[in-house]
Amino acid sequence: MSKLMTRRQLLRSAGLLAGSVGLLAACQPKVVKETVIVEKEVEKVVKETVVVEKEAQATELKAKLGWGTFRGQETSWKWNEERLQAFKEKFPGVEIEFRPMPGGQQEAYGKYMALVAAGDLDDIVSFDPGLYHFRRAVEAEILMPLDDLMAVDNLDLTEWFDVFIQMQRYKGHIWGLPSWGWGGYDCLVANALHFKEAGIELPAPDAPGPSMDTIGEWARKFYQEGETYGLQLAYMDHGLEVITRSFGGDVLNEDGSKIILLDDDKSLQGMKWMYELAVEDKVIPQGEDLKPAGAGALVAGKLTMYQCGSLCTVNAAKAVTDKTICEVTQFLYPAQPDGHYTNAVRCGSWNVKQGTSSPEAAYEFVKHIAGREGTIGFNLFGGQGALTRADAFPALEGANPMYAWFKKPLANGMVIREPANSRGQEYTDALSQYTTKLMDKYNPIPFEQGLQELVDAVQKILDKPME
Amino acid sequence: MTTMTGRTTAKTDPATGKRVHSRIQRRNNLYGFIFISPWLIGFIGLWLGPAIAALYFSFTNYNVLNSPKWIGLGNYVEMFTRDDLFWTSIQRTLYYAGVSVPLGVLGSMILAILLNASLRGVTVFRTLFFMPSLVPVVAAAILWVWLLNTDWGILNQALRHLGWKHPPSWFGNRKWAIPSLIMMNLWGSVGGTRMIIFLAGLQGIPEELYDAAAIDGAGRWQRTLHVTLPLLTPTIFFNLVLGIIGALQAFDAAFLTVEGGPGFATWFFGLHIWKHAFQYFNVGYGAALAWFFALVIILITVLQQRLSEKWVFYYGGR
Repeated sequence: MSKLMTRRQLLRSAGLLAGSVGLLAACQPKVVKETVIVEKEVEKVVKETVVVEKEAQATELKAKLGWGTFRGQETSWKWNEERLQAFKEKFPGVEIEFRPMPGGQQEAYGKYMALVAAGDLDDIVSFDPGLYHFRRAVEAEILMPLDDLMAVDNLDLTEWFDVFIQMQRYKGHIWGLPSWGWGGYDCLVANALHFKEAGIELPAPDAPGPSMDTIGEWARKFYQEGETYGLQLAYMDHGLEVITRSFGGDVLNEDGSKIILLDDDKSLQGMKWMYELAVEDKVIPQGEDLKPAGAGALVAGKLTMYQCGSLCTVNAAKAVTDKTICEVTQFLYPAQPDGHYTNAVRCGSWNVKQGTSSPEAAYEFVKHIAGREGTIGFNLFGGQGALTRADAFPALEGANPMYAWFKKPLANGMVIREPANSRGQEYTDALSQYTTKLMDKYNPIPFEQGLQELVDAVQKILDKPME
Repeated sequence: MTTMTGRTTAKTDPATGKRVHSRIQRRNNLYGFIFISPWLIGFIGLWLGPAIAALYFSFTNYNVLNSPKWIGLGNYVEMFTRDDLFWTSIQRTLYYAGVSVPLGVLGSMILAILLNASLRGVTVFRTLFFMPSLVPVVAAAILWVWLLNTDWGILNQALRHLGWKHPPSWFGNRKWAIPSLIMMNLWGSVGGTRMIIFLAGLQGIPEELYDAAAIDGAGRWQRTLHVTLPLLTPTIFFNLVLGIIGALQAFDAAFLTVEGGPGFATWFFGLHIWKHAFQYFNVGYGAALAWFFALVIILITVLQQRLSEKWVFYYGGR
């Protein structure tokens, strides 16, 4: 009897085999898929639950709040309106009335004080740590700490650059989220054409810069009497802070109770560096010598570099009308021994009023305007410098590639030191006026005498009690 | 009793000896108060009330955020003993007033005498000289900062052309900052309201006095010296009083141009008050400074009034 399979048998076997293999191949993954599907469905259920819960919360949140600020108004309040509209879509039960405060920055704080006295302060306000009004507001119990709300919300504070979050902290609490923010007087805005003509290669705009001796040499080199100035310095608190830090010193001690310009050798070195340029070599413009000053003089080709900050670079570049006269760039100060970029970061704050009718709604709004979209809009449409978050930079760089230069100094920057007694404006005025007097090339006074006068006057203010 | 003029006068009650007003008179008085009430409400609400409140605050420690805390004469003691800028600001203000006022009054008077002549087109000149006083102080400040720019300002360019190789840095040099503000002030004030007041004073001098002097052989200069000036003394006195009060309150020009700088060179007393009250929020201390200065101005005005008896001549008696 033959053992050979018939064709029919062969085909039948092959079919069975194929079917089995196919069945086997389909079975296991299907089971897995099914498992996965089940898991995903579970996830979906969980997600939906969460979403549903959040939606329920958003719907439940009902409040009527006021938002009072002068910020964002330069562009016909579009940023403010846009933010309010976007918030309304997320929280339809929360009504926010925007109460714009006409006028500038300095007038705003007086108005806030008057509103406090009248019992009419808005729920969301902006006291600025970078301008010394913040601590006074905390001491007067005007503001509400946001720690608890942030903890419940599990807010990731690393969304903002650490330096800006540090400045929101005081007395163990966190009092707001960053509104505007920049590196302070952290760079020298420069006319690259002058350096090219002189055959000098400038460092990268976002890397630690040359030594202060080199910067001093450049200031002398580019000065031509009656024609151009090489360097313009800022005789004010943040300007002095950065110069003294470039030498490894500072203006105030860490707790802001003492001025250390005489006690700290490095700070003294920084002041002497300025004095030599301004009074001995007379290469620094004084007062109204240079008009317009800063960006105006730079783009007119009358100034090679001036002490300012990141936003000044952007604004100066916008002001250029003739690229054969000026090409705007910047370079930074030498880095600190611990690797920090030398700057004096300044920022504002979105705060919530103590005693607000709805802390949760107010907090949600603060998060909303300090969030990524809010920060991008604040920069691009609100006319403000709000370089407070890394995730806002791609959009800002898309609008202007210069913004890429500011990331590293902000990510690795230094906070300002402020007077412990919150007498910020008195401190600023005294420091600025006495420094102008010390650096007066037309009526020179001995360095030690002028510096002693400055230190005595400022210390007198620091010794006053907290208001 | 009704007088010849038809006005009612008060009667005296024989029993009490007190004046008794009739119903008509009381009604008339009421109408009088009603008509002046808009001004009265403004005066009390916007001047007297705040002045009294400021007087109270001057004896307190008050920063707007907290309630005023009574400290008695603490602010006044601080002013005289611990505030370094108190005497600096007084010195700056007296320097500014001491130079700008006499120059301004003299300039206005000379200009008015010149423009009092009956010449063709004199109205055009009066208008041209008056126009700077119409420029708002903000615009004037911006204009003068540019005019006095060290390198490119018109004034320094002209001075270089005349041979002054290194003309001053007007607003940048502490020595020249106040003279710059004085220049700015004189540009606006010499041909302004002061000149108009002098013109009115000159027009009030009787022509017959000039005729009489001319008949007696007085020349032009003698007529000016012995007729015009003596009869203009009341106007000079008036402008001097107002000029000193205005100059002592100097604030806006210094604030707009150099904000009290450079190096406190233009830190006037008005600015010192404003800084403390509205920027540093030391409202109590700012109020004390304000009241102190108000009293100083009142004293100076009273002194001027007393001294005027020696040199001001009123035609027809006081």
